[in-house]
Amino acid sequence: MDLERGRISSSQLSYLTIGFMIASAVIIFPGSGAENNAWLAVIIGLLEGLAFLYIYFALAKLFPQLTLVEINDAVFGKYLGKLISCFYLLLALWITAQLLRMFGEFFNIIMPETPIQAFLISLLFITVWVVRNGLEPIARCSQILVPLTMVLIVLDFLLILNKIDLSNLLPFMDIAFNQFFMASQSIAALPCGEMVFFLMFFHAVNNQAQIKPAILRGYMIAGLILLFLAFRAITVLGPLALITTYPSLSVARVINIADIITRLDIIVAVNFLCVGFIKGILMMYALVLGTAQLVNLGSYRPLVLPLAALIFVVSLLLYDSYIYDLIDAALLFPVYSLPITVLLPLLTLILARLKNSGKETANAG
Amino acid sequence: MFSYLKRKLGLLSLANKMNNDSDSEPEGPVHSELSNKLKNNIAIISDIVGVSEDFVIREFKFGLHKQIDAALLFFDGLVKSEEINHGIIRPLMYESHLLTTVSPSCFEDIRALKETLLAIGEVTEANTIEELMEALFSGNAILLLDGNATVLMIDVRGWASRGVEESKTEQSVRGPHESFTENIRFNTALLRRRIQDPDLLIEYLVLGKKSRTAVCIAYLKTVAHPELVEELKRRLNRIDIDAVLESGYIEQLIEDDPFSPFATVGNSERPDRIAARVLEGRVAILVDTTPYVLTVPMLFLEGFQAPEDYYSRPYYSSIVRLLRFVAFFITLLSPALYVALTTYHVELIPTSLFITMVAAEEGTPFPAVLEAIGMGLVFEILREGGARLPTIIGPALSIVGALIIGDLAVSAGLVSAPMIIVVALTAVSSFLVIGHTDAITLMRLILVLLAGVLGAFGIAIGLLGMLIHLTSLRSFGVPYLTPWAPSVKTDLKDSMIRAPLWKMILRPRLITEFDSQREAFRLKPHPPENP
Repeated sequence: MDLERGRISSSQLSYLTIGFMIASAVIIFPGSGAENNAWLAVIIGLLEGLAFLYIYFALAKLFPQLTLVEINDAVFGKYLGKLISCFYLLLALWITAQLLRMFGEFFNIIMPETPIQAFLISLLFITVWVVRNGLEPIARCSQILVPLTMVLIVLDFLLILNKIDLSNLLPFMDIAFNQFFMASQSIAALPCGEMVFFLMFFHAVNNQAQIKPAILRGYMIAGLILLFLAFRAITVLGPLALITTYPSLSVARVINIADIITRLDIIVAVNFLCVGFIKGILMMYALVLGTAQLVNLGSYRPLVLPLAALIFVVSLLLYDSYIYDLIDAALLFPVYSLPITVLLPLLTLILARLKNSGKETANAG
Repeated sequence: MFSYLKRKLGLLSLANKMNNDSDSEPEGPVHSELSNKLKNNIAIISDIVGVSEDFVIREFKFGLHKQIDAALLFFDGLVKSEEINHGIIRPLMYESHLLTTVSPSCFEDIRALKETLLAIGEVTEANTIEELMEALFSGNAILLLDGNATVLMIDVRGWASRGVEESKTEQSVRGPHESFTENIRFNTALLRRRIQDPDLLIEYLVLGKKSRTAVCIAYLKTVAHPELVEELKRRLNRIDIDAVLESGYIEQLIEDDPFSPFATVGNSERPDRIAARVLEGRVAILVDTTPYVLTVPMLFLEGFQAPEDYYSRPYYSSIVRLLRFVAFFITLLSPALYVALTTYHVELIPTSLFITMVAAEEGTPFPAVLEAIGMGLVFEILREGGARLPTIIGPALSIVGALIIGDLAVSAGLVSAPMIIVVALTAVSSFLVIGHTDAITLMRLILVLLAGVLGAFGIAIGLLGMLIHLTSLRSFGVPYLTPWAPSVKTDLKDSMIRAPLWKMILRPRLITEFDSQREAFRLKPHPPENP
């Protein structure tokens, strides 16, 4: 079944990885649970995520040209495979809705009098548009938006240099291990584990051998940015970083160059819009393509609008307030997402290996 | 609703009928042969042409004993009368007498005439009415001879046409000043003079059932992508229209996305620019009766390039190039940003500026959105008025536009002064990005509306939408945002900045992959060291 003929290059895959990984971190405080040791939690989480990536690479190598849903069908059979795919797709729906809600809440802070639905609908509208256009425009968008974000983050950093206070990094590891462990798990789950949905795009990469280096390159750059964002939040804001809802906004508000360059909130908003948009369309695309493959549709395009409506409703019903979202992301999300994003692929990989070796012995005998 | 359906059905059945008609038509046009009686032939032709005042039938007799009946047919005004007189009539009627050594009957064969008497460069034979008529309408004189079923088509084309003049729409400080004209022969010559290489192919075709407009496609045989040329020919051959009066007709019938505000076919009236594009592997489409030559594929980038960029030294060119990008964003965004800032995000404006701006905005009766749209409308009216205005009345427009509307609108308290500044800045900036003016005008309006509804978030949504559209757009298979998305690193040398000429070794990669090296390596000048 060839739902999507779009082809993406390996450099585009790198940009997509970066955008996907840093999306939510540009506004929230990555590894916030570990307080001023967040940078260490980020490193641990990223290393753990690297191990996850190798599971996905192994799956992609075993089943080239297949998407996650098709891999499940191939490994678990027609019915069990579809059931397992449902888990992934529900998680994708959840993540997309969560991200959308995050968008709405964020812009609601900037424009408090506008109802959140206005943001959600307009965002969904352009998301639907780009997803209907296919993977190629998505990848090309990332080549414009991700470098723009990276430039703005560097600019942001240059402007904030004089406010960095390294003493905020102390005391070192003055927290309970539990707390630190959960913080590193939230990093492993939130951007790294979600990379499992890239298995939905691997089939479209024009040079399959380049997948691994391209993803790793993007992962490294994204990791550095995550680390830098955590570092910046701690050193500039100190203990305040844990209290503010959007540390990046607070950091941007600290910027003051000779009373002329002030209130650079807009940079953070642009950053979030750029990379959040990339992540949003990727997740939406994965969800829509996966659903189409789940029910064996010839084209995924008719599903885009109904699923967008579903995402809209789910994102409104998710939480009563944004604080729940933060708590969920830090404490609950690893618990319910890691089994799906890590254990299921691992199980799939092991089963596939066993099946393969069984086949090989059968062939040999 | 029902009437709409009925109309739709009617259109459908019409389309079906037309398809059936074209199916039942025999292959190719019917060729009616000429007879060898002069009187018959003249009767047939004047029957087809009718009683046109400019159609001339000159019947005469020549030969030693005035025994041969002949007729010369042409359209007055399409031919050079001097050539008719001195190249055709004079040799036949007078100089044929001087050739006393030949037998008197030798001129009765029309081929002999062609070989001995006619003093005209291009003379061809024709046997059918269709060939004859086509030649007649394109400015040939037709010589008919009694007793011959073959006629001669004599090229004496020479209608009134403008000479090569300075370009009115694309001027430059440095660089050639000549521009294309309405005459396709001059235009191909202007191109040929710049690329004097057998590689330059100029293929000819005729478009328009009634206008019979000559169209040439020009490209470099070894450089242009064959698939591109094929695709262009396929799209051109699809065109079935009564008349092609300007290259815009062709542009609108071959473009990739007819609903996009962005142009996917480039145009220019500067021969140097067209030559440069052809040298990059693009295909040029020259159309008779218009100085505007089309090129495909067109990229977003081309709206920011000017021929002068390559004639001046790279530093200044790069600054100007960057300036155009800045101007693009200013003209696209400034009214929308002004609306968003004064309406929604007053906290983002530094305090002193805030007081001035809001004080000015407070005194006016209309919301900022309406002001922005209204002033934008006034500017577009002035621009359109200025473009069509006879030059004599021009100063009156600037007085009305600049003084009355600009100054007095503020004094009367109808529009705030900062808004006038923003609109003026927008207007001036828009002239730096000539290539995308129409798209920008539309996008600017959309962005102002979005800013009025959703503030900066609306602008962001609008820009993202524009980006999605641009990334989805292709021009003849080449992604519109090349070389940024997809990024082609070697082509970035000529995008935001213009690299030194000796650095631009390769042709743009996505346009062509053949003969990609356009200059030698190590061209960087090395003056000899002084002894």
